[in-house]
Amino acid sequence: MNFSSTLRRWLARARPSKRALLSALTNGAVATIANLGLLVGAVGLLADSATRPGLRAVAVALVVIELVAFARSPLRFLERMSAHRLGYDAVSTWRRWLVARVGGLDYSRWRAYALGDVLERSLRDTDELQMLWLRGVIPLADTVLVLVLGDALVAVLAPFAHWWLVAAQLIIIQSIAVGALWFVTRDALRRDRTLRRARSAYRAELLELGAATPTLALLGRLERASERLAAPQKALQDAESRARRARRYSGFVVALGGALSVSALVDRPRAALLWTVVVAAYCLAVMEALGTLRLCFEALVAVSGGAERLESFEHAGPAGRLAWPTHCTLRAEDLTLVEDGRTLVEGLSFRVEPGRHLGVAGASGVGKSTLLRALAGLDDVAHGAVTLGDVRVRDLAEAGLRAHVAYVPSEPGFAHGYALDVATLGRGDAKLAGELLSALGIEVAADSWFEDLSRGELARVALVRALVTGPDLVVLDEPTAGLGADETRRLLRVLAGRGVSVVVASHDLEVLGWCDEVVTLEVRA
Amino acid sequence: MAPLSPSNPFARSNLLPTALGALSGVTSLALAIVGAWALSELAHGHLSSGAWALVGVLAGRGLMSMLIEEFAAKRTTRSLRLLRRRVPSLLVRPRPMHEAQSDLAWALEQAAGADELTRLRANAGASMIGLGVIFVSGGALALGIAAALLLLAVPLYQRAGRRSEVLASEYQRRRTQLEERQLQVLRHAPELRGLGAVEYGAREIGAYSDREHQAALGAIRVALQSSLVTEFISGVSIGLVAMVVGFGLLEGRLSLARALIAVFATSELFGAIRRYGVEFHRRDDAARAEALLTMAPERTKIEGSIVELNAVVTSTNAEPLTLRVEPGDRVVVSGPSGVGKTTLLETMLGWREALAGEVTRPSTGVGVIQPTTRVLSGTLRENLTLGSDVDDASVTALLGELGLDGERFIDLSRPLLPDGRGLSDGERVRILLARALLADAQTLVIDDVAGLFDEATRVLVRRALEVRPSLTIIEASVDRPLLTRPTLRVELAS
Repeated sequence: MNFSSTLRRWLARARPSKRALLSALTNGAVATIANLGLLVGAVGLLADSATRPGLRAVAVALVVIELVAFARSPLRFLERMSAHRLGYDAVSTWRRWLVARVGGLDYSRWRAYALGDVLERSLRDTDELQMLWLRGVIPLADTVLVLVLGDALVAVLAPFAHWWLVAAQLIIIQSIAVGALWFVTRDALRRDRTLRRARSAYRAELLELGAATPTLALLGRLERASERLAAPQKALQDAESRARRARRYSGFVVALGGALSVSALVDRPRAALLWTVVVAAYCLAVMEALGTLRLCFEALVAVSGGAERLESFEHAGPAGRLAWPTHCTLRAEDLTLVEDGRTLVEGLSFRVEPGRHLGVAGASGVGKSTLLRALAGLDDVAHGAVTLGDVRVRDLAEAGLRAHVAYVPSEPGFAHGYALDVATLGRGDAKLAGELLSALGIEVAADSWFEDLSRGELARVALVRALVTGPDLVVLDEPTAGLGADETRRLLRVLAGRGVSVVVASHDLEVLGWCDEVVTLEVRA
Repeated sequence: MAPLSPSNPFARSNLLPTALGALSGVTSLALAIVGAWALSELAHGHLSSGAWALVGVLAGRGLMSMLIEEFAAKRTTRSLRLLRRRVPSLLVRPRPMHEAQSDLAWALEQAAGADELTRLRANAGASMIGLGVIFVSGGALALGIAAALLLLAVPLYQRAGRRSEVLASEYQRRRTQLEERQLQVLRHAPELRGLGAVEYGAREIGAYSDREHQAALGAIRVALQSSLVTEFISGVSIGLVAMVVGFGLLEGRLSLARALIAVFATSELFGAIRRYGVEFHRRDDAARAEALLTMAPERTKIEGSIVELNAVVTSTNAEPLTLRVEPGDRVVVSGPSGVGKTTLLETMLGWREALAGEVTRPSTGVGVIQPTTRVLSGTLRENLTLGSDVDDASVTALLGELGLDGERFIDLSRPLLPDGRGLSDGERVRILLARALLADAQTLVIDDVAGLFDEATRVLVRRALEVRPSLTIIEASVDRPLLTRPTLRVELAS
């Protein structure tokens, strides 16, 4: 575990513009100093005017207090706005980063993450990272600055020979308090991890039961949902109460640190009264500052917990670099496919010449989808190779591969938005998309909005999406599920008209009959 | 159950936070007075009494904030415990997408923290005593200034609050859009990768995120502007009071202690109001949380053992549909894809509200099999028996009858994963069918699953349904139903 290096990596990843960063830091510092100045200055000036009356001095003092008091609010406003802007820019960058990383994962890895709520969690974690600036770095920097300036001011104003003694005393007390806060916070990091785990286990169970409970309730087994929820709920409650105990310690450190700084006043009989009052007011401010530091540390803990989890998306496998080959015969050579330790396919070989149609048949669960994903280069094979031309599909550069090979999963989704956006996903030819949609029996206007498409409609839109870039090979998993016989025939007609190589897994005899060749996968004993 | 939003501060469930808030308001005022006195002692050269009083103030503040934290944590734990107990009953009907279950977890936490607002409100109320303190220590003019500015601040703040509420709801809308979209992108990441559209997804999320941020910055700007108003007024007020007491000091009418007390009390007064104002947005959060944690009562009539539709209109089917399914009936609902078969089935189950008409269904004993229904994480046995006492032999026999007899189905303690990994769609659906039969379901509602089976399996499943004539079955299918000899046919047309 390295808490601070994780945070540094994320700060670098956010790549804020220097100007935005500088303005946020400056605004924050000015606002914080104005706040401190108002408190300490007002008290000092009032005390001064009480002991050294003089109308002019007091009038000047009051005008200064007024001016600072007026300026304080706009300053705080500027501080907040610039910090928020910084945080938001960073979070947009991180969100794009997250999508690109998850989008680059191999299927088996992605599947492992999609279980439970890793993906949902990643959203919250990215959001929380915003606090890195807003509640973490910026107030932390400002508060430390204020403490340093305050200590310096106290030392400079100290009207006797031992000024360094006072400064040293304040610095030591503050350092001990900050050190103790840091120590307590580091320990809190461990508890925070446990709490996060418990929270996500609870959420995952909630998510699972959210899908299952309606069915369980109708079967008359609602109590099963309560029983299943009991254990993660207990774990969450325990983790929550442990995390709360950790907060208690840091609250105590803040109170103690604030009270101890008053000791700087003790035994300074020769000190000027004004100085004494200013230091006393400063002690009040120190306590506030320690409270702020505590919140900053807590924010950093929360952020780093999320950041650690997001980093698990970071390590994508080695990327292929080779260019798209000149001819694109698809070959499977002596393929062995394994999923969850179970061998699905062994020693399978076939080839698909350009423009030919290969059907993949076989009973449910025999490994058709796994084979298709391997052919599309979305996952690794245990043994053997999938090649296009003479290049292994995993060695091809991702961009080239995706421009020439399109894959459609068995339950396509992601179809919500303007029809033509959905049908092109920002690639290919919008006019062609419109033609293909209408050829498949989905009439849309340019501005129609897709929502709640039925399974059959989804299947057809997904096919259009695959064809719209003019790929050389399309890999289709059960493209006719949810379609009637007429719709199936129409789909096959459109597919044949495109002149692409097709690999299609299906139960549908009509589809298999349409193929030039069919590979049947056997159930392994 | 206690109300979640702090509507009435003197309601029984709110008494404790109200009392604590008031107590903390009075205490911090008292501490401010002691602090002012301490500073004046110091200024007059009484170092030891001044310093000790100051230490006392600091310790008192620390203690108070610890006490409040402790109290808030205890209350939160208690209400979380109560709220979590309600969770299963909130899940009996599918929740719409934008109220995803993780939102439910959010709502639980929000609702549990709702009495923070009650406490802050009481705190702000109690700090009004500060007006009296200002009068006693600073005189009538100081009181007049503080009171006048306070009266000015309230309507200004309310107006700004209303504006920021409008913007906040706009922000909330964009936020929901962003969350849903991002989740969709992540959940379909392999699909996007397979089409070379990952970059499109990333760009789109970037755009959604920017839009959300614009809305957020707008809302924050207004919120800050409105707090700027109170801050400004509080600054003016402190400044003017300081000026008044400053002249009092000069003229020798006031002691330093009284002058400082007046200034500190003004600052406390506005500070408490500001703290309440800053947390004001929580009222919306609490209301949203409450909406998520309350379930509209089901309008479906639940009685007897039959399914009955009486002139039912759904969102996809404008033609009123009347249907009575007697025990043992076999009903096929057919029609082209997109015509509303699933909507109709879900309306029968009470999962969707009928737009018109009346739906009756049995309270229990209904097995639902949809192509998207997932298995539960846990063993195969847990999935099949749902914790009831069924012997392994009859479970295995039933699995065999449905064609689930490979090596993977012999060991019933084999773990399954919630996404059904390692099971094909056809196998998963048959496990759900077996589960319903083992739970003695009297009625089966099957949503177009025949397409997931190969021919041999389809024959087996058909046979398994035929040898159980007492079962009532309602099946939706485009054109290839499992039920080959239905007693009733419902044809939906677009």
